Amino acid sequence: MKCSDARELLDAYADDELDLLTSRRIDEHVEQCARCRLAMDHVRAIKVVVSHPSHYHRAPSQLRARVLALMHQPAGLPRSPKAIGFRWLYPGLAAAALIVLAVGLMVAVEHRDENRLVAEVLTAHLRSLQPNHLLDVVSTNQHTVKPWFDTHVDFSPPVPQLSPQFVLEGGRLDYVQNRPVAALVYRRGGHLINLFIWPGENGQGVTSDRGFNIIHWTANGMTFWAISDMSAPDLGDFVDRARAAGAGPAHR
Amino acid sequence: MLVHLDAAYNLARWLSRSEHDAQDIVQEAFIRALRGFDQFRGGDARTWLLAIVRNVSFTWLQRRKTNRELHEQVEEPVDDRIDPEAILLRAADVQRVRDSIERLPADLRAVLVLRDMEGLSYKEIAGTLEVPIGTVMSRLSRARERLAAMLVEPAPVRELP
Repeated sequence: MKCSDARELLDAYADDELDLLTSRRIDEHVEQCARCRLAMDHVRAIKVVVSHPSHYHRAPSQLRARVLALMHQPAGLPRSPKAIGFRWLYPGLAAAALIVLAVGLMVAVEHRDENRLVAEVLTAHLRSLQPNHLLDVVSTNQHTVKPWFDTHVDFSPPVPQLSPQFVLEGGRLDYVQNRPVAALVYRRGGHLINLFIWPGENGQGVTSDRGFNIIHWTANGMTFWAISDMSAPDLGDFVDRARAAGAGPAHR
Repeated sequence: MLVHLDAAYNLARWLSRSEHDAQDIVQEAFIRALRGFDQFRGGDARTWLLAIVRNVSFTWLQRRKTNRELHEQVEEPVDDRIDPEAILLRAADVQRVRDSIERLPADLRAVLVLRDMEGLSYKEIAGTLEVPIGTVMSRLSRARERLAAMLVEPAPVRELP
């Protein structure tokens, strides 16, 4: 990567707006190029300075009161002459508007939570691929892995045996959404799969992010997230087998 | 929409550089938002409201200011050998930082506020300002570069009374 190309992307890199591959190329470039490294430090320093809470202007209370009044006293709304005959309509419209907005916001927030979870699972997966981060307990035997979890987390995750198609490599304690979760690691050929498990119900879904496929589902009061760089159909096959072998309703 | 009042006010306050005017801008924006609700095409309510705030602010600025302050002019390239520590040292001087941000052209100020204070994604900023993402990236990069240069300049000399 040339300096001029790197410079154009430094801000997006610091803002976490680049795809993984481009981020890595920036990493590599910045490691060797002192000038771009300095430019990156500038961006980071400015972000620290600007994002300081003391620069954020919160709405003064009198403005809040004025806006509240606007929303609840539609008579205060400047309006076109022909609307005057429909004065009574305004409270209903404003209320409807508020409800629609509130629903929209809830959906948006849920959507953001879901995205955040995807990002966290992806981060945990990538972290596990770093040297010496993959496994706390190394065993291809579910009867070794399961008791290990029983003493390391406050719930008892199922440990499906999926050989010969998917070989259990072991497990580790990980963190997602600030809570300890069980991570089971399976391998097929050169592909690793992380299966994250924690108590709670979290719906289901299929998604992909930065080239990784992610499938999540709920069964027996547990939430399961499978992530891998293998193809979506292969990961789907893994999930089907896992569900049939104890991570789904079929067995309990 | 009331949950986005702070976001609306913060943007208006930084764009107008005046507490009083920012309140008027936000009130005007909420009136337009409530009236124009039928034009809301779904999506993110915050982005939608902030787009209105931005438009009202710019209309307001245009009435009072010259175009020069609204849109950035071509300027000399910024020295890229600044010590990052020098930038961080200025963080404690809140007034200095504020003054420097306010000296940025409003175009650049808007992206800086939306990204580094409001935490919007590039895509959301592009939606709010109705510009391509590439424009968001280049404005943000220039805003930060300029700000870095301003922060490490020797302190402006204040004239004695």
